[in-house]
Amino acid sequence: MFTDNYLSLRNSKKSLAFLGKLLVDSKYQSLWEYDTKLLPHKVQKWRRKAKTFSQLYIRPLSRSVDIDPYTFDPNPLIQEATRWGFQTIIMPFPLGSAALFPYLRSTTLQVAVIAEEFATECGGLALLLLAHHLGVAPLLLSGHIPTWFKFLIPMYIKGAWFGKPTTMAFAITEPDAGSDVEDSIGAKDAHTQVTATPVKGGFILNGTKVFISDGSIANRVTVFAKIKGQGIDSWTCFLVEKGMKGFSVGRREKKMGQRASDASELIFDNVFVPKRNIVGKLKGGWPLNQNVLNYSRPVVAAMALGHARGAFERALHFCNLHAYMGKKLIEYNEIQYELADMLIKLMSIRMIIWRSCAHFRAVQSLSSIAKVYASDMAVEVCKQAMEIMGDQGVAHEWGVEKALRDARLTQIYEGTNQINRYAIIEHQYTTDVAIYNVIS
Amino acid sequence: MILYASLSMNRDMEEGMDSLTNSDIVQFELLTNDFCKKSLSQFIDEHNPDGNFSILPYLIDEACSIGIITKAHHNASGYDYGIWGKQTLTSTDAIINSLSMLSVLASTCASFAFLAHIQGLAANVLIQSQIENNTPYPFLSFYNELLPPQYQALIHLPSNTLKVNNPFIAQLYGFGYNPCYAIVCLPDTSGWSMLYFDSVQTILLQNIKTHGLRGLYYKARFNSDITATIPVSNHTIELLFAFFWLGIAAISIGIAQSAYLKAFNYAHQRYQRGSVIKNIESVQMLLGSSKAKIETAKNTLFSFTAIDSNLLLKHAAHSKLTVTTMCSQVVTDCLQVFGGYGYMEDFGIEKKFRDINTLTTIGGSPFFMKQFIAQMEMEE
Repeated sequence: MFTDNYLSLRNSKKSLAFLGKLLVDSKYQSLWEYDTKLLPHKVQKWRRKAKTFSQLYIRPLSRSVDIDPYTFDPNPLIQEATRWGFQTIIMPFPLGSAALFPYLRSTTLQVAVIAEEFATECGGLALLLLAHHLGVAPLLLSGHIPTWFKFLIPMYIKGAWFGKPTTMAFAITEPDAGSDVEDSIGAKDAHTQVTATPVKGGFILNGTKVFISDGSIANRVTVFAKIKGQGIDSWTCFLVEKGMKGFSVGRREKKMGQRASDASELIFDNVFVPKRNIVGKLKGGWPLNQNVLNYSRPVVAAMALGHARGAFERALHFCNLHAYMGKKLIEYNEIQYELADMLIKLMSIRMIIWRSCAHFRAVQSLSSIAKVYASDMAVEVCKQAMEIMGDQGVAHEWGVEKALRDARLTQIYEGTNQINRYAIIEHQYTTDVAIYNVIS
Repeated sequence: MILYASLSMNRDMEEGMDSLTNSDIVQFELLTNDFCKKSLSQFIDEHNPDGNFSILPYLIDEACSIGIITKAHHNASGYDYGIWGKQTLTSTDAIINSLSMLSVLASTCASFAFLAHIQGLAANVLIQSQIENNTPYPFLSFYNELLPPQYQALIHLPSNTLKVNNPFIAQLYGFGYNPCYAIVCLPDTSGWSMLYFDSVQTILLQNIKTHGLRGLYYKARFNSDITATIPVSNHTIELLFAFFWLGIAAISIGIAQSAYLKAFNYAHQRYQRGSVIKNIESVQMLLGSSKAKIETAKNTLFSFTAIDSNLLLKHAAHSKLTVTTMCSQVVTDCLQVFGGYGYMEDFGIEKKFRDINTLTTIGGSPFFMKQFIAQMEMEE
């Protein structure tokens, strides 16, 4: 239909002058390829590698794990991902596997790039692999050199050099404090209940954390707790290790989507945590938490993009596979129109994510903008994909309805999109509005 | 069997009441509400978020006996005024009654409401064709739904006998449960044909896992040639599609209303930012826009006046497009009020999200409905 159109630019360019011909783009390559070539060379390699890995190891598991996540053993997949270098990509060479020079320009870009590829195949397995980085982030972002030497560096050497994974999880959410611990305004009145009581040689942790991704499989958890009798400004990050007395995993939540990754309750019943397991400084937990969220939001946005891209690719495949009245669905103009619309959204999401990752440090409002926009658009794209497939869109076998269920979570975690809007305007308020007030 | 106070009302109907008043419709709503509270609420529990299908036959039986679900038998309780009962062919009030009952059922369980809806549609076709059927839970309604009706109308079947390997029936998809009988509507060379199977031996069924309305979606193959076709008029088919879409819209409103109620109550209980979240502006905006959309959806759905099959079909198409889309937005906003809890199965809101998206997509997704409406307008 398009390829044999003699009036298309590609086919009709022969009537142009030599230099004119050179200025016509004649490459038969996908938009994915065009986008990849915008990235630094080493990041390009990671993107291609992540795509291959996803197709080889994530795609075959995707549907079965979604149906029955409870009997699934994630360890072989984590081990394989570690062997490929994905579980150490938050640190640059030689400690981790991230490419050094691109890392010095953007700490989050490489994780965001692989997140999109993983999530394209399966939201749950992507979260399973990526939640580990969220658990590690407090260690890295604490900027506390003793913490790096004690925990981070040994763990990464073990993973990057010997391929032995250590899975980590990040625990902030509590039964009565969800959005409050993700927003600086709400935090003042947050009803957090996990407390750390100072004792000789360390702290005793008590309380419950909920909805912790990878909570049941993590070897180590970065847990945020307030010092007993004090407010959230006393929040401190503790490294709790599996097997510590009094630390146990409670119920595993039954989620609508991203089911391959567990969301578990973590119970702290008089858990003694030695002083050496404090991540960063005592009472340095709140800003650390906020900063971790700023770094992780572009990655969540990339996951949303992945879900949407997965839905788009499957819908495209479906339309190419199914014919009607002797004509493939994809050859109908109205279907083409809808697919093009989805592609526009995908491109715009990707650009906004890569733009938000273009700084060495994560910028609060840029991270939140990327997260909100990507997750909202991703849900729209998934719905469009379902719509063009008609009744087949709701069938599990095509994976499009699963993408919608997966994408819906990205509007909620890492701060609901409402909370993220506060974060965006908070940033603007302290910059543009403040400057305007001073001038006026 | 639970005794309902309103059963006496059914007797009045049998004794000769031939039209419904507003208070009758309210009584039917109350009857359905009673059924939901006393029986249907047991269908969904902690272990069966999508429904405990082992008790479904009893629920259907009960709903049939009290007149909510229609059976194509003149002695059945719901024959006249059950969901899509005989009177819906002639009375707008009866249609409103069916829609109200579907909404009430959907506010407790959309899957059951949808089942009652398609049972009613199948019974309606049988009533129109003067075929009597009094089995307790008989129907599985099929339609060839690779593409929506406007494309289906272009399919021409070669003859009245369908071979097993006929591509149009080789893979049919349909909704139902534990079927004894099945109805398939297919366009024929001279209009439409209804295939009516009075034995499941002819059909091989495979349950398909779906986004929402789980447990009700089947793929069917036929193990022998089919000759049992009954010609149906275009008027019947138009009414059938109109009822089908109207019913989906009514179920959507029921889901949206219950999601709103859940979110509203949750907003009064959940503390964040130092107070209950109903005081947070962003939550108020979600709830406010939800309420407005529900009221608009209701007004849209119930704004038809006369039974002209063509006009009703148009109205139904508009409703299917706008009402389901609006209700889908309502449910997603209400889920957002719950935050992380909304995503978990415990609060039941995630099922509503899946169900509403399924209803929006099936039987003509918004994408196809827009085209269908445009084509209808252009034909005029």
